[in-house]
Amino acid sequence: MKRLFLIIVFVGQMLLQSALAAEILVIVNLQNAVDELSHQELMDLYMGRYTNFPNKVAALLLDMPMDSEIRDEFYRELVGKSVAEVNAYWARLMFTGRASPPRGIEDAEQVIKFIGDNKNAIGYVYDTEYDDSLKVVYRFGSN
Amino acid sequence: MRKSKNSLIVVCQFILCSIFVSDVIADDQYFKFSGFGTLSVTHAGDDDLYFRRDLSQEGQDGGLSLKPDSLLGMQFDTDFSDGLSATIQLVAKERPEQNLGNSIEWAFLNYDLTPDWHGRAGRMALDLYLLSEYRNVGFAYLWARAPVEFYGSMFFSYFDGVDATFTDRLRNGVLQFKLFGGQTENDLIGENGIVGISITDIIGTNLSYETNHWKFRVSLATGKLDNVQNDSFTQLIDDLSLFTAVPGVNETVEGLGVVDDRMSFYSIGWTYDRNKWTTQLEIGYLDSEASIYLPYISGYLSVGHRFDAFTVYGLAASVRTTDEPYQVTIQSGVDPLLDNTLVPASQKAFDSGQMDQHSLSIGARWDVNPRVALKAQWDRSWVKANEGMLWIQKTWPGQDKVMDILTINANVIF
Repeated sequence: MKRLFLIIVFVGQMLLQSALAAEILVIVNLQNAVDELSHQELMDLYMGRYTNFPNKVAALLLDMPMDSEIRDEFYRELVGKSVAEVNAYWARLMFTGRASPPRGIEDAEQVIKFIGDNKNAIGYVYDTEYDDSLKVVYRFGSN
Repeated sequence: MRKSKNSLIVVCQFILCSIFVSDVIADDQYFKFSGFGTLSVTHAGDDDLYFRRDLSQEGQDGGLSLKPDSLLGMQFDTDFSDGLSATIQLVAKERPEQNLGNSIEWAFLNYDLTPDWHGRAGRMALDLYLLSEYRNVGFAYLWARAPVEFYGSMFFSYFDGVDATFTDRLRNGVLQFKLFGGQTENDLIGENGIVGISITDIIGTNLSYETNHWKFRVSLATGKLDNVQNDSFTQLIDDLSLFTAVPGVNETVEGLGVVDDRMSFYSIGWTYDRNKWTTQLEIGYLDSEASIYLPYISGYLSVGHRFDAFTVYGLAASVRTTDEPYQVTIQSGVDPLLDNTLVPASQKAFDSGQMDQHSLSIGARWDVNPRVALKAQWDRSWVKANEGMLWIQKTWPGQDKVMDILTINANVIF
């Protein structure tokens, strides 16, 4: 009986934790014509393979600081790679001038401000940092 | 020695700087400075064969050296206005002649013609193979250096001209098609010093398809070997020209000279990267009309396995010229200068363009942090006698050799 109780508590804790874990949201300006991105489209954007939105408008990609937790989490969830692996991949594109890597932005507040000012910008923040002045085009965990 | 000491200091300074440079750019005006560097120590070569990363180097005759792989690159990117941008990249590395003009690796304007078509003009990478555009950026690939059997004969990395690239999504991948044209002048180092080579009328295309896990690429290019400049080579042709009445001399002079001899490059490349495995394969064929630059086939296969921040890998690479060298047949007994000097020198000029070697390598890459990777690699190369054009062949005639190359390097991006 005691064991059953412990299992229930443990499972309950796990469920609570996963419910509370901050989700990463991919956001754009409200005026951006794109309402939704597929995982594939998002991968192609952030890996520099195809840097236009589906409506062929060039995307202005934003990234969080190199050593931030959210950046590490974002790329692991997006492509299953570490930041170092993603950097090595990007180095192939940026040092030939073929594509510019996402611009590094200091923090979520700046990302939200930048996207608010730029119709074609795209970035990512935790859902706890998001406000509805912007549009969510992809939500990790629910896709 | 002083030169290599200075280059060491410069590389160290930049590695230190790179650690403190921030990647944060928040201004609307987009101007970006970035760079890459490799500090590398190599133990390679002996008195018979001097090791080199590619034909543009003078080679290492044993001991430890920083020269083959150490380099420093700096890149400036700026956006002018709607769709127009510019890139300049400077690379300091071991070169036959050090000057600013040679050090400008890229300098081009890019214009977005449509969302999917991009045009560029200026100095750009000669995009023949998978690594052609980032061969200098050690951080961007797995090995200590681009496989020498495949990339070592590419003494030219850039060309001056134009290109147009089309990119679009196709099913679950991205298709890219590129057309390019222009010309290039570059130097390589032969046993008799610097050789200046011009390739004109370059026209080429490549097509690639990339998905999340794999990439396939095919590439074709052709150009005319227009001019070969080397003092002792010119002297040899001048001396031979004194004997044009002797049967066989004209044919030899014609073989040594290059006038509009066409070179064509064909290659396929494939990469596969999934879960813990990373694999890469390239096969290339160079067709050449020039007697002093023989056609060859080359290829490599690399397999790596990731263990968190470590990747261990194995690499097999091979290159072989596919035509026999021109045989000098000049009537003997006419003049001792011909028999004793000019005929052997001419035959050596034809013979020394041969390549027949293969290598097996093992190594490891450690991603210390998102900007720094350390690598260690051991290569064993089997080089056939007198067919080691990729090396400086000091002993002639030589013998079959087995050579070991040990490399440790640090690679950064900033």
